[in-house]
Amino acid sequence: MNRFLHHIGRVVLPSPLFLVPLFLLSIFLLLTTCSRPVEIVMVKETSPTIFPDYAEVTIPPNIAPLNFKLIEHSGKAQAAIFESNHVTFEVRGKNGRFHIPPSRWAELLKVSAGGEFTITVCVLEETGWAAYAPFSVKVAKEPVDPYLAYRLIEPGYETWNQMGIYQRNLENFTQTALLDNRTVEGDCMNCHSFCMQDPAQMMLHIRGVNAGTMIVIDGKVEKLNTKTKETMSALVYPSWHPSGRFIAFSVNDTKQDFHSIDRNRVEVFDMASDVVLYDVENHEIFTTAALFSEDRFESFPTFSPDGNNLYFSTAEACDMPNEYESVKYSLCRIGFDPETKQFGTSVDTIFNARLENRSASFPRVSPNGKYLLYTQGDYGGFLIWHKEADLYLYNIETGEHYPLTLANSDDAESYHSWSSNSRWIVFSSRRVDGLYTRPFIAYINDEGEAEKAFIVPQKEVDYYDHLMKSYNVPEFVRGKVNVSGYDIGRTAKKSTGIDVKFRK
Amino acid sequence: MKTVKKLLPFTFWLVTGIAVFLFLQHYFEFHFYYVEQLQLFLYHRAFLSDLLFSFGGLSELISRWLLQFFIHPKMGALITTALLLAIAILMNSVTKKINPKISLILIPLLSSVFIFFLHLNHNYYIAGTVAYILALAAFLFYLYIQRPIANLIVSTLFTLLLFWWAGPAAFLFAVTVTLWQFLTTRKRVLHALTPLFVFVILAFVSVRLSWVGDYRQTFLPAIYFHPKLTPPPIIYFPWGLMLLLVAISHLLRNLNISRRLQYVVVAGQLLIVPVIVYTLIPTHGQHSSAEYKKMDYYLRMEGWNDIIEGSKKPITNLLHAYYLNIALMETNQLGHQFLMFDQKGTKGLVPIEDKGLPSLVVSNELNFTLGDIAASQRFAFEANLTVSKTGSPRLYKRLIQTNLINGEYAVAEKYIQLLEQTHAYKKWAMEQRRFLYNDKAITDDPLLGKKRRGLPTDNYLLASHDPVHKVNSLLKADPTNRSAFDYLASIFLFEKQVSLFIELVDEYCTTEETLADLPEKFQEGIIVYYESDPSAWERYNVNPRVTEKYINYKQLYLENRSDPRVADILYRSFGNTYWLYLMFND
Repeated sequence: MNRFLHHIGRVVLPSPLFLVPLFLLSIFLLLTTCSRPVEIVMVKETSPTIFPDYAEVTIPPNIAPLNFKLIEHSGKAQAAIFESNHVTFEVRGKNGRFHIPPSRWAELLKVSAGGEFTITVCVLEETGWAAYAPFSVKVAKEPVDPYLAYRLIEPGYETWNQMGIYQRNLENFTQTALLDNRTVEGDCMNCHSFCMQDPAQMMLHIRGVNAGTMIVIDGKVEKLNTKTKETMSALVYPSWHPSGRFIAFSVNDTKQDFHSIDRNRVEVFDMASDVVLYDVENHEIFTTAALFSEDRFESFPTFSPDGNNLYFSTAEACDMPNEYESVKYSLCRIGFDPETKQFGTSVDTIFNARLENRSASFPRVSPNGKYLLYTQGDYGGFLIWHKEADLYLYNIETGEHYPLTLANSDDAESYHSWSSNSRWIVFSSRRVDGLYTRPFIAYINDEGEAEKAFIVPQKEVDYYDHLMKSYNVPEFVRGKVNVSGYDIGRTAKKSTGIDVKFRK
Repeated sequence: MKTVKKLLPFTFWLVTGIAVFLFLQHYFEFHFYYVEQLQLFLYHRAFLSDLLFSFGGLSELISRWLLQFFIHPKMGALITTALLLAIAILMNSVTKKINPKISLILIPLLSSVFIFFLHLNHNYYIAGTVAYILALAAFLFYLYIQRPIANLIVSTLFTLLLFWWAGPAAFLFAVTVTLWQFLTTRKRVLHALTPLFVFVILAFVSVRLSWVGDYRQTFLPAIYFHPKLTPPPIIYFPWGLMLLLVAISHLLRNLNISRRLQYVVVAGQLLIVPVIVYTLIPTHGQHSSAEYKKMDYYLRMEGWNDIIEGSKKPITNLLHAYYLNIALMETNQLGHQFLMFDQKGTKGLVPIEDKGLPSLVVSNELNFTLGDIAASQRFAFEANLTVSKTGSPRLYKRLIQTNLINGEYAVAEKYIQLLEQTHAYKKWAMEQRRFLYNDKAITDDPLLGKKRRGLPTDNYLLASHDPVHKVNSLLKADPTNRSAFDYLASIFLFEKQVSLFIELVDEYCTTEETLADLPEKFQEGIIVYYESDPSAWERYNVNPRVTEKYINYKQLYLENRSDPRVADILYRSFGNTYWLYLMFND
């Protein structure tokens, strides 16, 4: 039968067995070529174009491998040489993609902490290995919080599909769902927030059939109904008091619209807004006139780490939506006594929108109390849809405001948070493709300047290309959140919720 | 004789298959094109592994792989026929295995019938059908195993595998195995319950770990239906029929009937099937959406004349009117054919804003035709989010076009990259690459260049402004935008806002050429406004034929104005004139 198959008509076909030695030889050659160390015969002056752009960034000593790809790769093979004072190793590329072995990477970071290492990308050309100009990566001494929590959702406008809040272990590539919306009948969820990066104290809102604010403290899940007749909406943008006893919230009448022709496609604005405080123990909200005025839009509250001050954004009320471009938020501060639950009598202006003719939102104070990080844009408060939006730092001691030039880009930078050691910030940016927000991490050095930011590394270097969802509200967390999505979802579905009262 | 007997089943299934195929192809061709647009299948490792490792992953993978071919003519009908036949044949094999003495062909055929009706509902996912087939095949295989211990191992293993591969169909399998065990070997209760027990543990763990949303999705076939909708009860019928089949086949195992009676029984069962199909067609035949799916296909294929031809009859819903008006605009006939069709007035020109897929899709299409690229993009994006299976290819195509027109190249490239991983849209996507970061290529392109040149010059917020403001802005940016002019003029005339119509004409028809080009019905509008000033008719270059027609119309009206049937009298000679619309249409 075999003979028959190999003698069709007069044409004699060689037996496949003939090809076996050839195949084995080629495998052998391939293996020996790959395993031979790279010998550079030519050095290029240009730097390689890689994605993600990790050249000259500063990274924490506990971050997962920075896998990357050559955007336009050439040559028969590619290699990347990682070199520090004590560790050197090569990683062979596959179709221009470099996946760094975790064990070698950990070793490299360990010896490079407080220093730097270089990466030399090489391509095998006709004449031998050609090396691009090497680039360095600085490794800070201070680690980053090991977990990052964020929401993944399409950057849509009114509709959503499958979505959820997830936690990512930054030391490896593991992502798990904190709450997937399949667990809550497809509801929307947002505004997850942690008390001082503590995984045991968190909250989030669910919007939809099982609507409510979910508070999780030490594994116990509580559902709140937060709309009161005195407030215009349910509770919205949160910030925990460091004691865990209070959470500051805004209440907002938010609308969304679309530009007919503008570099920003969407405009999100408030028709009105106020700031209130929620008392976790007594299930009541309270406020003060300075935070609850009809003449002003107060929003985006945040506590100072000592808990004695509340920062917030505030703008003069305008005729909305007609005057949406006139809404410019100032940054203000009001004293707060957690013992008496009394607010201070005066309001300090940190950033004066009228004088600067700019708008500032989402203030976040570093846990060491030195800096206040916020977003600055031309107008409005929801600046993640504004391409001109940049991150700024306010030095609380010196009163100086300055942009985080190396962290910012030509596109929108907004929602941001601090690591527990005040050395790292994480923020959302649309810089990759102009639409889908991605999480970037930047190091804040001793001078209070941000160093070049890097995108959170992924195991698959094409991950961001294929992900059709945005990262919302990236928040550092000191450990893994152990309460399950099932428990949160079950409480959301089964519990009728505690009605929050407004204390006058 | 033996050969004939052997060939009989094959012939029966072949004839049935051909009949089903012809029936599907003839009556539901456009349904298959429509459902193909409700998902995306990517030839990409991460996509495939995500799909495979999801709950019921293999059935999802197979079904979506099959669906991508529905875009090709006849493939939808062919694949659906194959799936329906597979169900009937497998079920028939089960009953033959349990009880070879009597044919219970009705139950297999009814299962296929119910699944056929589910397939006609575009909110049903055919992963449910594939999962059902997998469960049937697993059960049939299980029936062939005789040794009790092997039986137990296979049923447990299949429960595990089906849980992963077919989702809730594993529950059906486990329940069927349990039923079978109880019917046949009542002594081994533990054996009988093991698959069910395994399934319950898997369900518990999966829900706890959030791999599956909730227990309802784990146990019931509702997961094979759009998550935001309630599935019709017939989704449960094939499951019930499988259990019924096993029970009846077993219970009738000792029944002995003559060969002649057997033929009568089979014939009787076969007669029941068409009766049930006929009975269910009015409620489950999706007749109401058939016309819409056809129009939608023509629109995607730019078959404007097909849409216009298909509209030469009373139009029963607004979606059809939107499609007609889009087709008229695309062929520059909206003005010339004004009042010639059942256009549904302004309602047929301004889509109702809701979050349903048809409204979002049509709003995207209408705005694209008008040149309102921001609005088109917004609706395309929103519509894409309502498609739960990775989005819709036609909407990604639109997102690519709108982003290219707006010069948002990076995000356009992202979507191009996505469609490059598909079977049917790869070529189109690759062709779009030439526009990336190349303004000249865009400008030179007849479609993209025209749309880019027509982008509004002043920025405003879309939802805060009415359609009139919006279209005016488009006309200001590109006074040659014929679609926008005819659209706005039609709105004014439908709304009987003749003075606004005249303002529009005064602004954009400033030359003799443009005035002469004004559609006849628009000229009728000019006569209305300047009824008492016939010199203006000449100034506006009103065609003498229209003038004469008006004189006749007026004369007939004056002769019969006291007659209560005046409208009918005028209609006979001037049925489609704007004058009649203005005077008698409420």
